[in-house]
Amino acid sequence: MVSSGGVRVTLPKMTFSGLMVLVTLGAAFKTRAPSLGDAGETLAATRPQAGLTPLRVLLPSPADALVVSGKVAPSVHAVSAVELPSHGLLAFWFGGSREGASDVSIYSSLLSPGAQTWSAPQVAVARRDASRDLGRPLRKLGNPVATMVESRLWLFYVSVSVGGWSGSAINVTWSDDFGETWAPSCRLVSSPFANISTLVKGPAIDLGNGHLALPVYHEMVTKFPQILRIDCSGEKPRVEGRTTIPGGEKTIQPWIVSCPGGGAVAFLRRTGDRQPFVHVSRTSDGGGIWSRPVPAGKLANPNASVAAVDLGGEDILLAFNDTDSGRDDLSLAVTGDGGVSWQLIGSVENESRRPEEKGEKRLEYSYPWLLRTEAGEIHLFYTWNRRQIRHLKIPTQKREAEAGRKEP
Amino acid sequence: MNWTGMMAEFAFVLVVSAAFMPICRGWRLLPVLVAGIAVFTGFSGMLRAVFGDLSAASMVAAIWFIVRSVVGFRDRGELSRFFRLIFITALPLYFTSLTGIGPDLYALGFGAWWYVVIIGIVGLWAVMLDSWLIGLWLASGLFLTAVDLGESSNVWDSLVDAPAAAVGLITWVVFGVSRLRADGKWCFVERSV
Repeated sequence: MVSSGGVRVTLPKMTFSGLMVLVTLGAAFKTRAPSLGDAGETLAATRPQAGLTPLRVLLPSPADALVVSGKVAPSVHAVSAVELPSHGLLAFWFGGSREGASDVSIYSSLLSPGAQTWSAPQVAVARRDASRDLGRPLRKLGNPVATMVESRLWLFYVSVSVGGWSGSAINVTWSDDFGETWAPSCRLVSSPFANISTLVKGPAIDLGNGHLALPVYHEMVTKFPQILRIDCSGEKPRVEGRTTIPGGEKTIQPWIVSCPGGGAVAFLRRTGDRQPFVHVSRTSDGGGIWSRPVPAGKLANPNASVAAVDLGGEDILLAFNDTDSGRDDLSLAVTGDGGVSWQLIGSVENESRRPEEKGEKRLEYSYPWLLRTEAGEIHLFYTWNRRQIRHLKIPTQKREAEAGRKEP
Repeated sequence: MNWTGMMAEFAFVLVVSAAFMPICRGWRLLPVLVAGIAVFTGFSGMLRAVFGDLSAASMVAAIWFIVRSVVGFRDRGELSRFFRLIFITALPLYFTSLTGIGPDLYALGFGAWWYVVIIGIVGLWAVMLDSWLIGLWLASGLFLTAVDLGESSNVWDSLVDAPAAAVGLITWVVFGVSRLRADGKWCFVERSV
């Protein structure tokens, strides 16, 4: 026994000290870079270096919309879509008797290359199957978000065991045959307080090296956006870092668009009554530090989800509900300065454009999803009156050709 | 439910029940009984769904309690003090995580090696001061992180969990009330085990 300054060092203590040093070193070696900027990975890691062909967007006609969701469920919502290596489009959404019902499943449907109609929907994730995989009772399923990374299709989705949406957790499953079969779901631990209140809505960004940046948001006590860094290279995906957008209270559902030079901009849904505008937050260091969210000009946001896509050059296209309240107008706007000033393209869906819907009690064109394909096509998906998921190919023109015509 | 799932839930409720034992006058087999009923009624699955997996705090405290129940308690207030420490530890973590205000302490647990080293040093210091329970808690938490046993890769998730923090809060309340009503009628936390 050794005594020093009132502390008796005994054999058990010495043994414990040795073990403590070992586990400390072991745990220290397991630590990762906690946020995106520290990892040397940036949100622009997989952005084509040559840049995208700049496009000019024209207003589509709602009459051209395709129905994605078929008639498998009376209530559908929250679409997400990816382009497959075959250049087909695969869409996911949740559907059931109503939002939050126990019979809600996550469905998928395929638009094969050249096809004019979407395939019959099939269940990608059912509540009972997810509950069995996760080893936990689940009350309901929510927003799905799909991401294609190389040849693997990832599907993140929200589930709730107890309470409302603020009690959500995020789960993930994946498919190596483009949605025909799915691996057992596993839970992502993203929050210390019983791992509740993390939800997903916007698309993940491939960081390379098997890592994804997943925009998420928190809803319990206060609402704010976050970005998870997920390691998908192991046996099971795991959260390995988290970045909170500071001062983002009352903003949720971040949708991130990478910008040239390693920067990115997050478009945010604003909740609450004050400042009912689309908000933006920016980063210039690849996602490590984000600015405090500010209104994106005067673009309206009636507490509704937004979607954005890179048009090439400096331009970003945004789909949003251009109303002070309700979601009965789905519009498009373009910014060329990261969300400071906007050019309104026009309204895609509204009451005046579809007079045959005047009998509807409440019109809703919401939860847009924008997708740019490898060929440069822009696709818009959205919830149509909670009864259908609709898909519109947005007509575009190459801006280079337009500039060429203007030259003397 | 399969047998492994049932056993996992039984163990979960057993640990949670045992963690609550220090704050009530206990019948030693109560945790086992509660765990059995919880699994039989399906309540255990809901409990695990709500709280997620347990951390070293709950596991070490429960094992400590069970062992001490057999060999006898030397310091009857030790577990209560331990749970209060867990609550104090969890409080800033939960506050920053639930509000988004202030530094994101939880993010530290993913990647700050110096944070892990500090935990190790505190654990060593605790044992040198004969606070074995705290030392074992921190060592177990780091061990869970090092071997990737849990669902999470975050050190915080290996160290604290909501049930343990809840027990800590309850012991604070009971302890505070008992200090106010020190007339012997109230159950003193320090005597309750």
